Amino acid sequence: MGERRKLENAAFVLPLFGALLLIPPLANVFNRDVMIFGVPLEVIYLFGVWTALIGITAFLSQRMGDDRPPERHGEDES
Amino acid sequence: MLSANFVIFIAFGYVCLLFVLAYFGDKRARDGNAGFLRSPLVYTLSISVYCTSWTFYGAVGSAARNGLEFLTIYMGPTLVFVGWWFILRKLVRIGRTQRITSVADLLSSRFGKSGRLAVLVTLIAVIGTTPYIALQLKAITSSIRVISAADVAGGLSSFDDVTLALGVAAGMALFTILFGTRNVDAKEQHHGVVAAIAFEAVIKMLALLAVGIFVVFGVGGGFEAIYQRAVESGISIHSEDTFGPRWVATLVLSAAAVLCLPRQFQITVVENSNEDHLRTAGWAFPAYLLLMSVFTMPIALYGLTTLPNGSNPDMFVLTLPLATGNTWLALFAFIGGFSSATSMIIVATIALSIMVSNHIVMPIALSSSETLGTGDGRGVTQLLLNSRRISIAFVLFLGFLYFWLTGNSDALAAIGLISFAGVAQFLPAMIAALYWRDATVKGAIAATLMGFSIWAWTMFLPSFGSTSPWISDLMQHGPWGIALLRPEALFGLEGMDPLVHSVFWSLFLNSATLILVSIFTSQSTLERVQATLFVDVFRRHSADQSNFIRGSATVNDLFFVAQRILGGERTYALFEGFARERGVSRGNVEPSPELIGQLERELAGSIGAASAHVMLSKVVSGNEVSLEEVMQIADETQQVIEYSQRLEQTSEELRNTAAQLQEANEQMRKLDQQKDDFLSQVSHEVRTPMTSIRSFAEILLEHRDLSGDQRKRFTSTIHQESLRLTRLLDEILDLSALERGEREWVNTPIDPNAVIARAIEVCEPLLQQRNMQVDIGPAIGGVLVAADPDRLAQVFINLLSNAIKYNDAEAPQVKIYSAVTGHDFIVDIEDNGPGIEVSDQRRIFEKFSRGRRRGDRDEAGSGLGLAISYQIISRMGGRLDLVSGRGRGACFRVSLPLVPAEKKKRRPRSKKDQQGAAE
Repeated sequence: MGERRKLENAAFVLPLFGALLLIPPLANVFNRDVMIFGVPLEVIYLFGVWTALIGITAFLSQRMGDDRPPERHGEDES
Repeated sequence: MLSANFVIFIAFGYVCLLFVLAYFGDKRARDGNAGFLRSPLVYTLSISVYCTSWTFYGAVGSAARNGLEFLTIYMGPTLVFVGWWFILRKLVRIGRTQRITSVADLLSSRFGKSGRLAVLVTLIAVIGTTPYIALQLKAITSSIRVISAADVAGGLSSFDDVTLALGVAAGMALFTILFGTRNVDAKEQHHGVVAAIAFEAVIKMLALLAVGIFVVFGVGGGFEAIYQRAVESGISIHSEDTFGPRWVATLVLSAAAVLCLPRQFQITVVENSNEDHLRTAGWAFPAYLLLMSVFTMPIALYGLTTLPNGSNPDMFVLTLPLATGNTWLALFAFIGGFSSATSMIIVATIALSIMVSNHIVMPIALSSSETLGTGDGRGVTQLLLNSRRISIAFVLFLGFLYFWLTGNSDALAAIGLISFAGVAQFLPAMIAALYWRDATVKGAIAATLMGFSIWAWTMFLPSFGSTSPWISDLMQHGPWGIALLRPEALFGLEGMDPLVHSVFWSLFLNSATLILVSIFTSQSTLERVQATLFVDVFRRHSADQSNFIRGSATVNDLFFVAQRILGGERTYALFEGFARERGVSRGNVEPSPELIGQLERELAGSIGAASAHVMLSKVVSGNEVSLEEVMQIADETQQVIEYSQRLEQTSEELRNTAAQLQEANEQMRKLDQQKDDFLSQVSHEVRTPMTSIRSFAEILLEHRDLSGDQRKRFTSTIHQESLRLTRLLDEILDLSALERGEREWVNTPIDPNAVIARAIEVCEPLLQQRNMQVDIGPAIGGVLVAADPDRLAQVFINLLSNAIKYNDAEAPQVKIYSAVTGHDFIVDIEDNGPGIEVSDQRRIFEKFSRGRRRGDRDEAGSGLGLAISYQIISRMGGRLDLVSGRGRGACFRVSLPLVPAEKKKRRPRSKKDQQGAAE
């Protein structure tokens, strides 16, 4: 139960942190005229955050259990 | 080289392929063999209808013009999907339990099944989607023109863009009508269409990746080389103000759009067949978006560096392969762009047509035609289907009109953002619908209307500025010359980016209106019920909550109504299932509120909550009071809860009372015991002098030959003993009178030092007998205490005589100190006698308790003196304590409250006051 709540909390802060990382004050930290592997730093940064968000969500989604009552099968015959 | 005819033929063939896919998808779903079609993968792919030709062509154009900004369009949805557990899951759950058919239905249902709100949302959705559809038409026509430009002799050059767009719009309308409105489905799910959309998602991704890989690794020489070349040719690849207000605004807009766009709502919520699919979509859809944007920037940069100046960057995806002679790749890219446009058009028009038919046509039909509910069975279904077909054609026509009116000037991305900002006006109401219980329908309507007006004024209208001189004049000088109302500088807010300006004003005023109006208006009963159903959707497991209509309809009436919307087979199954659940035969089903409630939900799945409610209310010639009943039932439940809480409280009180009773009983027994002890002690005390009196009296009676001396001695003993006896009885009477509060005396302000002096005087003979001195500390002058002088003297005499009588020290001594602390006057009477045993200290003030004394019998007191003193001092509002003195002897302390000097002349305290003080 505690485990599950922790996962839910993580799932809650993830988009918030994601948003914070993608908007001005923090994003500007990486907005420099620097190239890494021949690609601008801000591009690497944005795609990095993006990839991390996807990865963490995939991890959390699989770990988070199902909270629904058993599916009623009557609805499936339409 | 590709001929125009060939390209059009390919496009037509592609649409036919879609048709076949959709057809078989539908067929498999109907056969109950949906399997793969309902997998999380297909669901995720279909959500990517988000990526339209704006993504396919426009993103590159946007990257070429505005740098990295295009990424926000995909990062906003990424954030929403990453947080799927909170918003999307709730939306989908509500959509499934309440049979929501569209975003208009969601808001209408939540705000008390309001028809007006549904109409408003539908209209805004139609107007907001129009630019978006125009964008697709523009993309398709431009792409056809680009790819067949080489073909000079082709038949296309004789058409202009407008004709081409009209043709495309007509074609798309035909396809969508054929597929989107084949039947009025109970749950408004279109498995065939979803299958086709998923297929298109794969095609457009493959096409874009193919072009991207070709550009970057085929001709560009890798990411580094492309950036290198861009820097060399003077293109700025770095901008200081990338992350500015516009960045945030587009991020917010795209996050709002992925929730509010009618087509996204249709695919994500309405077409969702299993809530669990979100688990996959939560990360897979952002991953899809990521893949779609990886190559955007390099393609734009490569296009800018290699293609001649003035090339349209929106078409780089096509022109780059063409320029390098890769015709087939260009054709593939064209199909990718075509598929991204068609999928958007199909889903958007289906979603809008459902909204128009459910929320505008149905209510009008229901209110204008009395026979609709009772006519022949086909009427309603036919009406729904026809209205949907017409609205599809109408929406596409509107899109075409916008395309025609705005001309060719706007970039794709700019048009798309107008659309996003339009539908984003639903966001405040939608968030309130999910999380704010007290939002009212008036608030929602006012807010949406406000946001929409601001959007229309500050964004939609200016988009016509380039083609209409009247509008461009308005933008320059404001309406009637009022500069404060200029569309792009509202209320004098100048110098902002027009997009940021519009998004800020519209969303800010929208939310503010929602909150303020909701606070100042109240909810109807139905609203309150619906609000609870929505906000608490995760707390309830039963959906049988909304049976609000009750009345006198027969089962047959209900059956016919249901049949008209749901079709015979499904209606039959529904009634059969209901009868089975209740354990009765089909003929004996009662038109109970449960049945009507279930019917209403089923109907709502087809025609929307508001229309279903109106329709059933019409058929069931019902007493509308049942709403109140619902609340009453809720109230009764509440009452039962309260009642049981009260019961619990009462039993708790009972327990407390019982405990108190037990305590009281215990005390009574103790008192009883004390009384017995007291009696036996009194008897004992009385018996001793009685015995000596009796025996001396007997001697006097029997021995007549006693000498006069003896006789005199015996008589005096008898006299002494009887005095002692009288004294004892007096004290007992005195004490019990004190205890019962019968002794009345008046406390007057007196000088305690005088009383102490008097007490010493009284004890003088005793002192001389013992040869003792009283050591009196410095007297404190000018103090007054409220007391009765005689009674107080009695106390001091008692304490002094005890100190004298029981002092067995070699040099017996008594000390009297007085002091003032705070509001009390304190007198300590200390001796250097044997002191009081620790074990006795506790009960020293009890009756008949004598410390273990060593004095001779004559001097033994009654054991009542301290008890009486204690009572007296208490009655004066003071305290009598045994304190630890300086030496080994006992030290008694009398504390009495001081009478403030200015109140000296005050009336003596009444008896009541003293008792209060004594407690």
